[in-house]
Amino acid sequence: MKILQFETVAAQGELTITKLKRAPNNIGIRVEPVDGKLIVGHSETGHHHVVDAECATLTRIDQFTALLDVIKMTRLDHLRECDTHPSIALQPGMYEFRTGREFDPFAATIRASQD
Amino acid sequence: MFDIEKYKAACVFPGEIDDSAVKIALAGYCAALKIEREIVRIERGWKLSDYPDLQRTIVEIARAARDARDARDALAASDARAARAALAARAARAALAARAASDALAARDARDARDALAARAALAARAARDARAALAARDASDALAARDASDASAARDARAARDARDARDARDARDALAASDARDASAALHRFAKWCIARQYWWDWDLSLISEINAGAHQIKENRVIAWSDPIYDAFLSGASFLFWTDKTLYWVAKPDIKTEIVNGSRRLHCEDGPAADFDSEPLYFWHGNLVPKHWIEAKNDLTADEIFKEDNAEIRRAGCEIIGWDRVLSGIDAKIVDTDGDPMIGTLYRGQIPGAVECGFLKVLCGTGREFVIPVSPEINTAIKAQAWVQNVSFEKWMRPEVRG
Repeated sequence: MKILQFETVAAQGELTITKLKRAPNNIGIRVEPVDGKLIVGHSETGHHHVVDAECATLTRIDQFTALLDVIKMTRLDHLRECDTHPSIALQPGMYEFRTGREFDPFAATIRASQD
Repeated sequence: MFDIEKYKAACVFPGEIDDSAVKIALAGYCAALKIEREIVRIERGWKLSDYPDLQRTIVEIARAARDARDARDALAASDARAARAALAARAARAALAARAASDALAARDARDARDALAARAALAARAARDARAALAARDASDALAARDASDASAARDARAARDARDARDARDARDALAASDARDASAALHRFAKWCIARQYWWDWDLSLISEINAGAHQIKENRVIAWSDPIYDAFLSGASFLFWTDKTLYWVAKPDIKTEIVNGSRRLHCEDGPAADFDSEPLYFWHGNLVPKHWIEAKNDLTADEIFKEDNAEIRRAGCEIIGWDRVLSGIDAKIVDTDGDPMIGTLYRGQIPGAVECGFLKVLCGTGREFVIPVSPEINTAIKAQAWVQNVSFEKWMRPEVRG
């Protein structure tokens, strides 16, 4: 299985991952794992972007922003059987995950990207 | 005797459909109400001409609706709904006779039908008083919890969505009676009949709902309610989903196959290649919770942007755009290129305007799986790379090109 490596910024689907030099003051609210997985990027169709809950803790700041504190090397996986986004390796450290957004031309508003 | 585990299992659709058992149960229901009805299942692929009593009832409702044709479309839609309600109330009058149902039952035309709505509400209130205590009982609450997030609940959502599309079906009723071509009339009347059957009232003969009353009735030992709700519970366990009354016949529809997706822990009707609520009475197609026309799913390759934009419901238009893909939408709305980046993962920025929507940008981009997407972006953006930063929700000054894209 192909696992992508990066130093500072990576993307997986609608998620942008940035490795932080230090944790921000506001780390948000802790997100509990589901079936041993931390859902970093939620999918309406169940094709979540996940990390092994034994290797990291996840906190969410707002609708678009989450922080992942990786304590043991792991990877970001995409749970879909077809058209699967390649996994991305995550070294120990603090990461910011930003969920993409899009414009809704009917409502003239901004909304989170959904896949 | 109500059994919560059996009820939970029965809320998983379609389950086993036992025609004979349903027929026996519904005959017992009619017997408990001291009425006579022929018990008939509405079969897949049905035609109105196969069900003469149903056809007669639907024509009667359509005539009542037609009588309101001087009204505006919206009012006509309301009248059609009222007519449908009145006829249904009249058809069920024997069932409700013990509750002095005579006030609503003379409704013949749309005006009377509309007036009858209030009377029907009174009927419902009386029926509700009978069932209120049973519904409030703890076992009924347990049953309600079991039905929530089940196929039974999703099936009810599907009928509610169908029921909501009344303006179009009111037109069908008028078309059916006005059409000079018999084939056109038959098709319109059939569409109208499907809408009538899918109606939603609080007492709309959804058997999962009535079974909850049965649960509570047993707990509080309300024998009068148990007498008529036991057979309904049995019919539900045996595969019946809901009922439609006429003066002579009690029609039943089997539980449908249900396709859903999970959104924030809740189930939503959705199927990309077939009906999401596959009722024998009418397969219903849903795209991420939106009821869409059958051919939008079954023949999506033939669907055009123009046809989507003729739909007057914005949510359904949006679903249509997603079905054919924003790429085909762009070509369908003559979008113009604003900026192209050399990197296909940064993409090409277009500007266009969907009828009924505001003008905005559209970023066509390659994702990590090698598929192209078109993402609507804020109107003020003028380059593809700024659109990338905007999509990733960071300021352009702080944006960094991703080293890898999974």
